[in-house]
Amino acid sequence: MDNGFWLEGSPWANTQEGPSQTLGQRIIPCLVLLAAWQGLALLVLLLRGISFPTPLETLLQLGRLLAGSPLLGSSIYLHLGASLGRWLLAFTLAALLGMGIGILTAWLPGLDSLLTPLLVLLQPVPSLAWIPIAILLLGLGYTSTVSIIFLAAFFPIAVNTNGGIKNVNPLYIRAARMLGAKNRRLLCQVALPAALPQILSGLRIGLANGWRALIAAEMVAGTGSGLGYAIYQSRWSLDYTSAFVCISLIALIGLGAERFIFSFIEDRTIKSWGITIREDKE
Amino acid sequence: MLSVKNVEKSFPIISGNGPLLALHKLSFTMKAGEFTCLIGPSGSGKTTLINLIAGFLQPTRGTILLQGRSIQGPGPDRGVVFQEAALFPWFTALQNVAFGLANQGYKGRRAREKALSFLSLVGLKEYASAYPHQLSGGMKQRVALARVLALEPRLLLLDEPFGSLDSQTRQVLQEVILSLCLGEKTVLFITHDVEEAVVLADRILVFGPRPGRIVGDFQIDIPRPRREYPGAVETWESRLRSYLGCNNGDQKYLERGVML
Repeated sequence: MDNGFWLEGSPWANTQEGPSQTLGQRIIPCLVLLAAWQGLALLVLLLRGISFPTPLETLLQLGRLLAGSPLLGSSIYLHLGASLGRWLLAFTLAALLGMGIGILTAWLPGLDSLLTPLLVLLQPVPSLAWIPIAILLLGLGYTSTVSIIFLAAFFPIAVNTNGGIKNVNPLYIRAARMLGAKNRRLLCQVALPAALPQILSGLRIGLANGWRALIAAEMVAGTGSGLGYAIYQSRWSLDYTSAFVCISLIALIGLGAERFIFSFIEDRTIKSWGITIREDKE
Repeated sequence: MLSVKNVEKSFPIISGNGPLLALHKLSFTMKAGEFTCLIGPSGSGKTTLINLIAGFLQPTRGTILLQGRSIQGPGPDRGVVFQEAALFPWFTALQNVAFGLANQGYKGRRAREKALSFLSLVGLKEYASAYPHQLSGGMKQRVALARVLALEPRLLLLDEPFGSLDSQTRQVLQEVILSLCLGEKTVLFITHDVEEAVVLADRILVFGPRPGRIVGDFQIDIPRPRREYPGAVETWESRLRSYLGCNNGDQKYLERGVML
């Protein structure tokens, strides 16, 4: 799956020692994007004679919606809250279970040979492909939406945690055992911190996958609320400006989650330890 | 103290020539408090020997006894300083030293105080809260030394600990290690550097080319501090160098000549 959107332009994608971006360097891509959007809107109007929401119209509509104007019969806050709620619940479950399974399989060779081939086999299944299975098993609605997000986030987290722990530099394990460390301290104080770059990378991929799967699942699994649902319904309501509001919110939330949550964690852990970040695996 | 008897170690190697014999019928003993340096050409199995004594590897044949007991896996009674410092980058210098102490049951302030006293011993008290990546190569090896000394090991195993340092840092650290270990600890110190071995060792063991076995055993009788006797150091150095040189390659000569 493609993670370009989430990783490009993030300082982690580059080397750690690189100069920090200036304000101008941060703003220019946004301006380019807005200008392209504006140009596209004008082009569509000129060539097809259809009104295409411009950045300004979208911003004004965002203001109206935030001020309480209803979207598909409920407030934007309800849609936003519904999406965020599903995402957080599913991601939390996926993070706990994914890291748990990843740690267990990496630590217990018997379990590893049993479960890891299964993880590796199922990981490439696109999250959208789980939709019919989830609907068959759980019906339409909340539970199946959450399960789809869960599955989208779970596999990269489990596989990266497993790989991260198995790839720990054997010198650290030797040193720790020489210093008298046994199972629990060996795992918690040596293997886990050493594997943290790859675990974080798995979490970041899981978060992004989950967010994308959420939007898709809301479109298909008949939730009756949420940003994805609102975008999809604009086919019938013809309220494309509101759909653009939802798309912008999705982009901003995705970006915010990565920037704020992950940069916060990484600044306090691997960056201050001077560990270089490994390549993302999916 | 340490007795190595008829130890053999071979590694399965995918080369078509069958297993690689790293050590062949190796036997020697070390007395408590003895500072022994092990020199020899690279690839002669010096590191393999340290890994066996440390318990990271099992011998294929033969026995290694530490104070009469055979070695079962790695443990804090044999402190190892590796070629690269192998400090934990997620711990500060102090936490790196305290890690082993915590494994021995030291808790909270007692662990911190003891760790700090060992950091002071290697002259790094001011860097207690620095992370390894903020330290120079020499400082990292000081921390690595402090974290094993803090466990009060019976035997200290050093695998070319100063190999990647510049010569000035190296000399300073040689003084540090002599001041902390000489006469107090039993030390097995691997080095490439013949001069380093002559400056440090009570006794020098010479490894022949692979498969590793001892081809020379010398007591170094120069008074200390040895750098004050450059003439004597140089004499020993050239003696050992020519010994290493003339022994390289000619296996038959080695076997008839100076086997122990």
